[in-house]
Amino acid sequence: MVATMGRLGTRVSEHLVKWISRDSDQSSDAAIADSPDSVAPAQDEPDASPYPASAVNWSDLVARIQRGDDSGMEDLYLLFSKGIRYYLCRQLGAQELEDKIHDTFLIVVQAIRRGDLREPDRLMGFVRTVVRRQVAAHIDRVVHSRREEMHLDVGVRIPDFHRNPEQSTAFRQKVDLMREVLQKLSDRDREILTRFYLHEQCQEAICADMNLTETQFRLLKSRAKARFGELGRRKLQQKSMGAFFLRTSPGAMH
Amino acid sequence: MNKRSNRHVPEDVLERYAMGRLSGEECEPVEEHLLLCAVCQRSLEQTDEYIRVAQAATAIVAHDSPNRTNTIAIPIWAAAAR
Repeated sequence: MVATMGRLGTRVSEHLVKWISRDSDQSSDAAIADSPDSVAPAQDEPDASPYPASAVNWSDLVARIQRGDDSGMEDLYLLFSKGIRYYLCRQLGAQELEDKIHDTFLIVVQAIRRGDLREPDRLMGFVRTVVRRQVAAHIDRVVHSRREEMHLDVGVRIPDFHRNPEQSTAFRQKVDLMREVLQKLSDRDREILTRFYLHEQCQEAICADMNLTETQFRLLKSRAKARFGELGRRKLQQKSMGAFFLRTSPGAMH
Repeated sequence: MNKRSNRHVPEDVLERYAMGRLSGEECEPVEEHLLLCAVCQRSLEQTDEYIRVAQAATAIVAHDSPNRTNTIAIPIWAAAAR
């Protein structure tokens, strides 16, 4: 496995070893407090997940981390860093992202070394638990600090999805296209989408209220999305928009 | 660490996840998969964006519709897209 990691693995390992050694001497209260004492009980089979993502020998990976083998940390980092970064960024935004990723890995590695992970096959669930707790702890801290310092406009930082003028313009263009799609729908179909997306009513309630089958509901949504993608491809050839619409086209879905 | 054929999260499940409509039990396998699967991470980004666009557009259309029965206040984020 390490052989396939190549140069990247070495670089990542150095980085991660530095991280771990930076904090290993400290008895990190936060890490202990945040560490999941018990991971969710193992399900009947780890591969029972409806969405298996990779075939990893979790026992071997955990054993290598426990005995301090750098390759274990490399593999852990390579497996999870992107996903952890993605999850944290989606939930909390990009601010202090590297520190949060570092803290998450630190907690995971320390917990594994302490033997807190009782079932290696549950490593994915363990990492998920740590990341979710990181997010919750961050929100708690921000809320707490806001209460303490009401005079400052701290507030929970909601990820800013449209940070620059170019992105704002692209968003407005997409909204215009979607309006065009909506305006061509019947009143009834438009109402269905409005209930779902704007009023956030659940599918079951909408179907019951409007006498729809689940299939009709799904078809309406997917047709609207497909139409949106078609319009986008037809009208917008700009690079930034083009990439978006190509990815939202029905053919790109899996 | 060989990758085997992924079973990606279906689009409708991703959409419900993005809208916070999955139960804790349903969330678990989705989030675990998302930790490892770049394809589904990209799909979720697109889903998030589509939902934001659909929310803004439906808000504006509902507000502008002469047949509307209720007064619909356009959220700030939707008004910004006008």
